[in-house]
Amino acid sequence: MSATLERGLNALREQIDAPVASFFTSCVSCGLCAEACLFYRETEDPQYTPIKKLDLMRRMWSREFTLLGRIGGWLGLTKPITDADLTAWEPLVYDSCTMCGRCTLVCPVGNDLTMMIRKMREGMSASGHGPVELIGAAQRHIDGNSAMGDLSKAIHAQVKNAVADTGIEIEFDKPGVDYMVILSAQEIAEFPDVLGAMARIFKKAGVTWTISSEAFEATNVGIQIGSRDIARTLVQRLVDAAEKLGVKGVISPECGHAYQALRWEGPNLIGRAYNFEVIHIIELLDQLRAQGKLKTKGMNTQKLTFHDPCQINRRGGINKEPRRLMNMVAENFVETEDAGTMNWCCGGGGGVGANERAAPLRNIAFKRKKAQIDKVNPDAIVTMCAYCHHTLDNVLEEFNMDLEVMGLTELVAEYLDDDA
Amino acid sequence: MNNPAFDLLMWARGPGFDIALAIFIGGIVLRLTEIIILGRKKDMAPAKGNGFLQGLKTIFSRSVPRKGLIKFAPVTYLGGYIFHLGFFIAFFFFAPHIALIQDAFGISWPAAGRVIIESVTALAVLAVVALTYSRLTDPVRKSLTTFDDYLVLLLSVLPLITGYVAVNKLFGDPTMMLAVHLLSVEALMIAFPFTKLMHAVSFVFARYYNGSIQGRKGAES
Ligand code: SF4
Ligand code: SF4
Repeated sequence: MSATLERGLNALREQIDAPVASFFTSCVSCGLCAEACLFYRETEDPQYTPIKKLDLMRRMWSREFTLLGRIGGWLGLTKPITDADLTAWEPLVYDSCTMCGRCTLVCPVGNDLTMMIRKMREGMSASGHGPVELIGAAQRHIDGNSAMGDLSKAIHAQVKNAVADTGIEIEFDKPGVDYMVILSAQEIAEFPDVLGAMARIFKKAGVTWTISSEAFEATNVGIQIGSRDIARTLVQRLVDAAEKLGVKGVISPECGHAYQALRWEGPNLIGRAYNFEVIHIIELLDQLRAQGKLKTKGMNTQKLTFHDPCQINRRGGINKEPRRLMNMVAENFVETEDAGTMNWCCGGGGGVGANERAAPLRNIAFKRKKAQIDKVNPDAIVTMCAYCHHTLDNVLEEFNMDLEVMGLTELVAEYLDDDA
Repeated sequence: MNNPAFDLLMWARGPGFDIALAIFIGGIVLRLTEIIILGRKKDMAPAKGNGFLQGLKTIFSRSVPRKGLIKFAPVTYLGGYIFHLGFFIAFFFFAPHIALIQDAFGISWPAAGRVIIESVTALAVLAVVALTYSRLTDPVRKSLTTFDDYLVLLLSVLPLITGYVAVNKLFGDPTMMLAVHLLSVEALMIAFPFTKLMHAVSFVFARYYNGSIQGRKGAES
């Protein structure tokens, strides 16, 4: 057995805990998880049944963690996992799963399949398997300051623009303020308007904030590729920066997996609770709204619909907050079928969007989202994840759908009541 | 007097049942130990919702299908419900079963009428036939199905069929048929911990974990 294979199998072994054992013990191979999955639904190819994507992990559990399986192993009835197995499963584990979480909510015996995919990726990446783009992004982020390369100049330039646009001062590295703001690479590169939007909203609300020049990038490719080491390093940077600045909280930006990484996985990765709170930008805006510190004037009259990012709603628990904000600023807000907890994934999550090899499959899977949008036929789609935004922009263009996509923070800021 | 059918019935009622029960309980304890012993790490992220309560809630709420999904797998959903309900009613509400339970544990409850018992038994058998058919023909079920799944279907349907035959004295020697019915139940009990039948116990854990993981985050489950 090669050293990398052994490392991978050890990493996978470490992931098997009581929940995993209860899930594999309970699976009745009913196949209902397939119906929940955008990849199965649009291809009708049984290999994309969620539980099948986990078959190697199931084999390891059965062979090593059950008495009967162990006896079977001694008798030579079952085979250990080989490198060829891992290679064969790589496209299933990385290309055909956005970790959207729908299967987890559908399985009748209650299996958290998405959590198991997350765990299985630990074994895959430790054994040297994983999409090259994610490996490259991880390297760039570890070596520098962002998964997209060096964004240090870009963030300073974007802040400068936002200051010029709004006339509001934005200070880097200011200790003792309420919040440290971090951004997703996508926002810095593609949607920098969010900076000005936050500046205006926070100014009105009396919220003080800063950006750390040491750690401003929120994305965490570690939790996508499945490497706790990488994920921990990236979370630790943010924690160090926030604790050095002594802020009350860190605002997790409009980015799905960044929220998952910092809010839910982070404390477990670094092995302790933080000395500050993590709040999602939309949670914070909703809080400010409830406190009467966020007032808007006028409303958007277009037919708007909302796209729930999987990691923020279904797997993050932020469901009602964006809807309350939408109702504040959108006169003609129409929900799609399955909106909210069971919303369909844009197809770009879980690292699938960055994975070139997955592009053809991703475009097929997007048809599920497209059907959902088509039924409502909106003028524009609002969302709260810059990567969903980016993915939607790209695939809508691919499908020749002329639809604007916008971020919720910017939309709210557009109707901010400057006189209140 | 030498009556092999009677002897078999006596064996099935006595030592046979004791052996099956020991394997059933011992096996379940073993399998649950295999799960629980692995433990899970304490979650250090501050909770947004109550994971414990939502875990408990999910044990029950997951019995209801998600909106709109039944139409995509009608045989699996309807077959599954009819089988589980039919089996449950026939098992717990048939007068002679209740009498046995009263003998053993001293508790009892009202029985269902014969017509109800026989209808649900027949429906449950039909459901097993439909579920088997879908495992043989539907691409997703077919690709997931292993020997274990067929064995489980067979072991679940045999007590229903043999019970029906014995009660209605459809054929064979009634004593013999009753013995066969008991033996089929014992086969089910012995296989239970070591096949997918085990889901009937472990689902409580799986649903609890699922609900508690989601619930801590304030997310639905
Ligand atoms: S839905 Fe659950 S029980 Fe059914 S096949 Fe998928 S994982 Fe197994
Ligand atoms: S998490 Fe989503 S994409 Fe992944 S297997 Fe489950 S339903 Fe499919």
